[in-house]
Amino acid sequence: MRPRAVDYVATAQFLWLALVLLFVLAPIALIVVYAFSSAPYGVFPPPGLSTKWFVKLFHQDDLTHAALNSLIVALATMAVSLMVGTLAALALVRYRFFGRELVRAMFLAPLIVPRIALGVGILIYVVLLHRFGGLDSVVMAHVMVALPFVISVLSASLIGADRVLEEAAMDLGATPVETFFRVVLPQIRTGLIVSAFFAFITSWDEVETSIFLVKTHNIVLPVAMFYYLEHYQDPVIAALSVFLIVIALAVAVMLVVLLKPRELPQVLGNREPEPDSGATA
Amino acid sequence: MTEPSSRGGVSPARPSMPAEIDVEVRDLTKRFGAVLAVDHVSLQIRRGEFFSILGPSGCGKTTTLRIIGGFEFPSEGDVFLRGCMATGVPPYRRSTNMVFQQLALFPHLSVFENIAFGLRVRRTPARDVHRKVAAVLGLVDLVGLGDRSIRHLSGGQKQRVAIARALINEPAVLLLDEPLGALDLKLRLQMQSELKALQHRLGTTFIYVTHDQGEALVMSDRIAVMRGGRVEQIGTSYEIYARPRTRFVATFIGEANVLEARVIGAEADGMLRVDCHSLRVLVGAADAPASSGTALALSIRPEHVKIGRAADYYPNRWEGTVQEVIFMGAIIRCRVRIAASCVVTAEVHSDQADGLSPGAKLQIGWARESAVLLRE
Amino acid sequence: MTTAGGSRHLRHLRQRFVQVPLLMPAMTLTLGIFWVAMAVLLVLSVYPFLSETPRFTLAGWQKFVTDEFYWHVVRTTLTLALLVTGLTLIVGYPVAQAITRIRRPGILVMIYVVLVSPILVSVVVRTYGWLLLLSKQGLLNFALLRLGIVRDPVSLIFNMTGILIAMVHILLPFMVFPILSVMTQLDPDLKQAAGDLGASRWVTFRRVTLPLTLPGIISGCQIVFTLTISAFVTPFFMGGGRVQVLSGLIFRDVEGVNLSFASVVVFITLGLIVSILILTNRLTRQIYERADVSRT
Repeated sequence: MRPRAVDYVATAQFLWLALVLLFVLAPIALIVVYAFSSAPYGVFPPPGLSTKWFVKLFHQDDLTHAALNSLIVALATMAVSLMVGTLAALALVRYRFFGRELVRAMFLAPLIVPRIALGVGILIYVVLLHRFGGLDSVVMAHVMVALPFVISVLSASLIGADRVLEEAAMDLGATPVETFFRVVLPQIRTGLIVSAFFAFITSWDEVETSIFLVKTHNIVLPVAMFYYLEHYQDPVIAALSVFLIVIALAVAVMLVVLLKPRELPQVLGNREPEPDSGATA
Repeated sequence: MTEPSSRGGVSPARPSMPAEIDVEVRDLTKRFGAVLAVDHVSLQIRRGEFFSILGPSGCGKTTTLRIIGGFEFPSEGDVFLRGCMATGVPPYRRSTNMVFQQLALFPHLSVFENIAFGLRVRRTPARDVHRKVAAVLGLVDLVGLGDRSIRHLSGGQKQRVAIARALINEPAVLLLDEPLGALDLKLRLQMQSELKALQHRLGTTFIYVTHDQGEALVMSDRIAVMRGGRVEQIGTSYEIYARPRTRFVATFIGEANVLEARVIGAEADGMLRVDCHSLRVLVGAADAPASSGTALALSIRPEHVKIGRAADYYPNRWEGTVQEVIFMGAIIRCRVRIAASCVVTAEVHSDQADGLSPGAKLQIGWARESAVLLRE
Repeated sequence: MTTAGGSRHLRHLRQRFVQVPLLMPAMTLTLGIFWVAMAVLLVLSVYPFLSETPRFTLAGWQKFVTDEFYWHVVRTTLTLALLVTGLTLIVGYPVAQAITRIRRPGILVMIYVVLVSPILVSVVVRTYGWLLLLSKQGLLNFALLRLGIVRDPVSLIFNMTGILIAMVHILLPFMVFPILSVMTQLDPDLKQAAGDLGASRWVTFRRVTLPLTLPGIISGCQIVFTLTISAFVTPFFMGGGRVQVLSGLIFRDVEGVNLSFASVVVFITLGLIVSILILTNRLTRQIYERADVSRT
């Protein structure tokens, strides 16, 4: 590679990266702008600044109710898919049994099904079971969407978990259950955190599988927003979006903070002083 | 296979007690699919012994150890710990603790918590935990390192943590699976003497698995030599070295000249005359008298092969031609041809280097008692 | 030794079946919900048990296959998927390349967060943002008019273009990350070796980097393609009723309580996805067999 004074290719790539990142942020940033605009429809540049849309938002009880439902559903989805997914991943990774690949495929199949199709299927199923109209059917649907990812991520995590450590724990007196909680779980911490966040966010934002399962009393936030957007386009939805963006940012920050302690040593590894080998053994 | 408790060399400062058996395996067999890893192994390990299982990779020594520890279930045979049947008992209910080859230290715990793990599992009160961990840290010379993360330890330090973690539970038997393999030579030698001293101090039964014969000879009270899933010989270091029973044991431990021979006849004083590569050799008779024509193998250690004047009084002496001289510092090894198809290795002190050069002719021989009859 | 022998047998049995209780919850859920639901749908597509006169019929399937309108919808969906996949690839590949050059962990983390932000924010929020940005009074037209690039505001929403832009926006991370993960595993010595042997940067790219990152490209394309075919919300809003995709059909039919026809559309869509996946997997295998490279 001939050295250059100016690496044109690299510069071009960085420029492109910057442009793309701008592209990615643009609509989100714009929403924030409109939330504070005084105009009742989307016009650029905004004629003036105002917080009236936030005020109007606070008076929308139905949206608050929807948000609460969403929270309950998301937490439930996270809990169920994590617990069920961990057990399933354990079985798939640790044990060799007849039909293992078939079972794995069976678990991962929902990934390729369009979510709206999943929504229809569960709708009919739920109607047949006379369980239509509760939050439990929504949780069921969301778990079906999140579970394949959770199983995937946890399987990958478990493969990296050292089995000798489990033997060591058992040798020291821990039963298999104790070993799982004391030794295995800490090792798959990253996978667990990522899966938990993913399950939560997926459920929190999920529209297509929820839309057929909800009526006014068990409506979830994304569906409420969907209908609102379908009929009105006033910036109340922008104000709400600002809140959701803030929540999303908080989630991202939480994720980074929780995962950082793990990544730090790898990232700073080459700057750590070499432990003395042998001299003071 | 109980051995008489006579030791031919180093004797510990312990009064001889009636041997209590801490660990016994009977007819232990383990198959992994079509592979027979352990083939009808029987051992009796005495309380307070430093017992080594020695052999090349793949001989089944680690598998045997893991069965004793409870990590593998034998296909046939049983394990007894202090007289009680322990075959189906899981590792968390056995009075054994293991130091793993890969150490298996918990990366998410500090040194203190690693060592305290066994105590925590047993819900030992915090005060006792602190006291015991402090005591064992002193025992393995790691005082003050309790709060360190595992990642910041050297190889030797990690080794000690692994040992401490096992010992703090006061097991009846400590199992060690090639624990010093990852250390450099100097450290390994140092740890060998430390481990030996530790075992002596604690009186705990140690079962030590290694492929390093020097290590086994130095540290052990008794050694079991394994090959291909079977035990070839059990004995003290001296017995294994001076009286190997099989070809494998003779060549695996130290150097040996293994010569094929055929019995010609018995002598008056109980000696056997054998024909070895058309040389007449006198050897001490084995327990069972061998009839004329029986084929057998002799093993002679190179240091017992004398050259020049030193060989004057041996009935087994011939003239040989030096093929090769290897200078090894304190000793010289030379390969000498004594018959058309027979080259023996002699080991002599560097002082006797005079006249040793390829092509030189010299007298070479060994005492009748130096040759050991090998049974296959 | 009967006790030992007996317990030995029990142990073997236990070892063979210990995974069953572990799998039970997940299997009950997945089988019980997902697979049953899919089966019910399949049945519904040929036996409309929810209507007044249920009987076994292929009328729904016939309707789909014979009506040109539905083929148009299929074509629209496939075209959209192809275009989105192509665009995200062209946009995303250089992004991955740029990211591999970045060393500072702090900046890397920020870039990942920005890239992933469309996923964190709800699909409705994203789509709304694009509606605002691309509308006739929106930011983009404002800029274009001000800069004099166009004389009249360009219509960028409620048509295919709008859908394209919004879909690329959301699906970009799904293309970038698979490519990135393959790229970071690339041995930097390979590019140096190529340069050593006299290859220009373009040739190195074409003959070394591109082939070696192909698995990531294919993986990314599969994901983006599948997700585009399945997409509902974004085409629904950005298309404004003028562009109809398969998922939109499903929604319309459910709202119109044509559930059995909706299930027909579901399986048509599923069939498309599965065929594409099978085809691309076969293609990948062929490429690698030809190059005699083993896929890790």
